[in-house]
Amino acid sequence: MTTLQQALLVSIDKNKDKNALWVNNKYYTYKKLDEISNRYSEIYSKNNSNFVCILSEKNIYCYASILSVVKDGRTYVPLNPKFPVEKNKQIFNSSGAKILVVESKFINQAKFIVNSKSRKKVLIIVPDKKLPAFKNKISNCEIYSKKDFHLSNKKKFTFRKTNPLTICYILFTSGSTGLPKGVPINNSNLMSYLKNVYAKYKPNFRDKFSHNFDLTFDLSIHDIFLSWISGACLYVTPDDQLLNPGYFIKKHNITMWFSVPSLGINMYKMKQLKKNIFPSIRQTLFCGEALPSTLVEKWSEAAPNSKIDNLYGPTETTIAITSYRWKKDQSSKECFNGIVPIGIPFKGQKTYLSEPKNFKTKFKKIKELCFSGPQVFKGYLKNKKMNIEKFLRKKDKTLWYKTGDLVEKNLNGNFIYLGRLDRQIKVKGFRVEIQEVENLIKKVTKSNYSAVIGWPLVDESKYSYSGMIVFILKQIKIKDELIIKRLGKKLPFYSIPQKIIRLKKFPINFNGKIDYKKLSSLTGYEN
Amino acid sequence: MKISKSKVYTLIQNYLIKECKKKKIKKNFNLDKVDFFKKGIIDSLGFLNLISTIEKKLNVEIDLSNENPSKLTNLYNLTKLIYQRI
Repeated sequence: MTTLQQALLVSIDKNKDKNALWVNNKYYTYKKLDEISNRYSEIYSKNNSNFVCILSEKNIYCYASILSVVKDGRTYVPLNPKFPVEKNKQIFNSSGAKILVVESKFINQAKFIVNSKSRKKVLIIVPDKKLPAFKNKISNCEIYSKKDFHLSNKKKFTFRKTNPLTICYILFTSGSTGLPKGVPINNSNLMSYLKNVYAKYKPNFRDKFSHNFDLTFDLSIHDIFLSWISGACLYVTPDDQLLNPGYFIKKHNITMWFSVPSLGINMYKMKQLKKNIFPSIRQTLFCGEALPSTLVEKWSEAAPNSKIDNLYGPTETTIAITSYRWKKDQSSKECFNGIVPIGIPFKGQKTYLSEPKNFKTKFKKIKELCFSGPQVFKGYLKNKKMNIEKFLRKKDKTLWYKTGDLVEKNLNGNFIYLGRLDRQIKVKGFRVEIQEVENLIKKVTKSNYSAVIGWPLVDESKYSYSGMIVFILKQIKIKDELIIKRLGKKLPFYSIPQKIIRLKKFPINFNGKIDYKKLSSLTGYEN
Repeated sequence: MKISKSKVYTLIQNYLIKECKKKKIKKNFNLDKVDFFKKGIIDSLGFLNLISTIEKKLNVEIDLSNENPSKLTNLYNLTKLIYQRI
């Protein structure tokens, strides 16, 4: 099978009576989900737009619309109700979508999003409510609500045909200019990823997948489509259950767990990682952040029947492109500064270690990781400048995507993540790798949380600062002076932070990672 | 030293009031009954922080790992559960 559409249609046909989804305390079989999604397809046929934006919380309408977009050979573009409305508007405009599926409670956001004088007619679908009086309230829009779904279940559809180059989804990552960059992932990219993880984790109809991620985070694509092509059931974690995900795992006997390490760390702090508490989990995946070995050790005690993999990959290389399998007796020796290696590339993906530009280090082994292969995207949406900047063309004409991530290869051939190339800053004229300072602070304070920012900014064009600020947790007992003193023993004078700010908690962005922009604002000075 | 239920209640209440002020949430609701998670007063990290604040102030360990999270999100229930566990 070469497209996701084909894989899903086969799976739906094969697993009709099995549960596909558990959301808001209700199960939906593949048959039911398929039927609901068909109602959308009839309405999509009134508009020839390839791109469909979806603005909804996680509910049955949301998942049915995602399925309908893929089945109909169109491109899925998630928006996020938690995003500022301006950002959703930028994504909608950049994608060029002319179809918007919106949950009724976000209808005012939708009005703002589609409001553009130059825009062609937009088709708005409100699947969860009958809206008789609503029609004609948004100019240049055609609105369909629940009352307009009249499709007979028996009606057979002829879906648009897809091929490996059909764009499957577009996700937007934050750009340095403040404008989000669109990352189109085609069927060839996604199917290559799914084939790799399918072969690795062998999911089947008995599996119960956790689903913790926001839909604008690419790891959510893994949960949704890997479970559905396997005939498994996707368990959507309700927001309030994130206070105690352990309860959710036990209640549903989750077998496939996937989260960012931060969520695991929170579970540990909430005393949820007790010995053998999650015997049902057979595979755990962590991705999206550096993975501390201390968490893996605790997790392997809590989920003794689970294999644990650390995945790594930028959105541009389709969800994840390398993996590292934790081995009880060997892996702790392979960790660097207490961080688990990111492992080796998936089958069929090629790596190239490039000399990092404008990066000087005494460690010659540190390189920028570049990828080529079927999982690597073809380029950003309408962004020529970035496409020139982010790809490396070698003599044999192979294009390599430059991740901006610094790595080193260890003796076993596993890559060790050392930080971001673009998190380098200049302090008093010297180049400083922020990740390096953060890792050291974590070691000194024996904490999993630390963040460093350059401050105050001296010269914007050169990312130059006259000093640095460190953020740590309030409850850390070591005095500020002692932390600085200990850092002074390991770091050159210009890398030693001037100030330590203690926080009750770290601000987190929509993807569950530390929000550096918010940290900047906490200094009292915007950088 | 025996810790009273009202002390637990006051600690949680003060924490929630502080968070409301910080987030500029108008307190036009009954704090006893409101679901503070759905209301956006605290998120999962805020909850973690609330528990560790109580642990520190009362010098106790609180284990809520067996509790259904949907029962932890209002002041009355949370006070009751924490009081039972210390």
